[in-house]
Amino acid sequence: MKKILILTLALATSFSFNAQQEAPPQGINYQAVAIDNSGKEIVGIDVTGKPVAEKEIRVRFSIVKSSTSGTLTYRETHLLTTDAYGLFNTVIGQGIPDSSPMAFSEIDWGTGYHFLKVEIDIKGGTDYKDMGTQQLWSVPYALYSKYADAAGNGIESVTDNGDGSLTFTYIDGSTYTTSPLTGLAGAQGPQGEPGPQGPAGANGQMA
Amino acid sequence: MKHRLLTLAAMALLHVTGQGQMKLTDINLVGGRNFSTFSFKDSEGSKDQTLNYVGLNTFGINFNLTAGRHILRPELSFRQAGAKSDYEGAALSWKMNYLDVNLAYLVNVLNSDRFVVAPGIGLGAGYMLNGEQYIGSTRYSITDTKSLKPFDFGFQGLAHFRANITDNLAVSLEYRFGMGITQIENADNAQKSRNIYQAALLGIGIRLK
Repeated sequence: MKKILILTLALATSFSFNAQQEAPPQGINYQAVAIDNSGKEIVGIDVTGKPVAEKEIRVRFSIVKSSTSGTLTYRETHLLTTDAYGLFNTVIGQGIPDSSPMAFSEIDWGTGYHFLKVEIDIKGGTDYKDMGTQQLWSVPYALYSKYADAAGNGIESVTDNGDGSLTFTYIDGSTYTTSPLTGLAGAQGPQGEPGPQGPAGANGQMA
Repeated sequence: MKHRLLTLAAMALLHVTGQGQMKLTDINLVGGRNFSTFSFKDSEGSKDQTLNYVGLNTFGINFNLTAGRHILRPELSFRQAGAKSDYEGAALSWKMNYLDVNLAYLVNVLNSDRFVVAPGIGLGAGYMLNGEQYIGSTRYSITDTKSLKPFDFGFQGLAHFRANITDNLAVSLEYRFGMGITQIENADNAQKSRNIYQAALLGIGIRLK
């Protein structure tokens, strides 16, 4: 059984966002080099770790939630052709869904951690070899930003409860109710007018 | 096999040097195509069946020391060796440049002043001046990586055909089969590589009186 090693040169997870669009591009750039780690003894330097050059390969990406062995959120496959150095580029989110529980655009990036699992078949078939699972980390432009664009600050509505408290309802459905709110003490007022003249006093006694 | 060849060569050398006084009769410039490959066994003893011959070049100068029908021929030559193969769609190739010192013993089987037909055997020692190996598009210097030994000792089987054009000039055609008698693999494991080649050489010779 061949061992296959895939060297990830760059995993550019650019969740590009264009303010003029209603939604950001639904995809994550992915670039890697496919290397066939099965070697062969030959004259001189043996063959080890040879790039899979100019071959048709199939790559399967899975987005799993919470942990490396967590719940499958999304899965798709790509049929790709490597270049002379085994390099291939693709966009996760633009492949063919493969028994995926949901569409890429439906992934709830706002809750929980997400992990990317990569599998590859250098023969171009479906005999995938697991290349590993790694957590997706923050990127300059996040897909989650589309929600911020829609609501401005993630708040869907604010309700006055009539007792001085307010309830904020967020776009993800969660709420927050404040304690009864009171105003601040006002500033000290101006000095009052002088009062009226008092009555005349009683007459005094003679000595 | 190696010991038999060495013994045969030694016997031939003793035989020809015992034939009386040898005389320098010809100086020849030779050159031609060298079709080279390897004999290779991996560390488990399996032979590589995917190696193919590759056409390279060889040229040199040699001197005929003649005693009757016996010819002793020292030679200095440049020889390119190598092979080609492929693995999983990636081309594999080797090319090494050797400086050889050869000594051949030939016997003229014709009793003619005009033509010479002389089969023979020879021994040679080569030093690798440089070499390169390609795995796909990746080049490795064999001399820098020291993946092969610099010295190559080999045995040759020869078939020499010669026509004496004038009293001073001769042309020749020669077929050589050469095989390494020491393996050249520099690996720490038990891999074994030997050079194998078949060469066709044309020559032009100056006949000395």
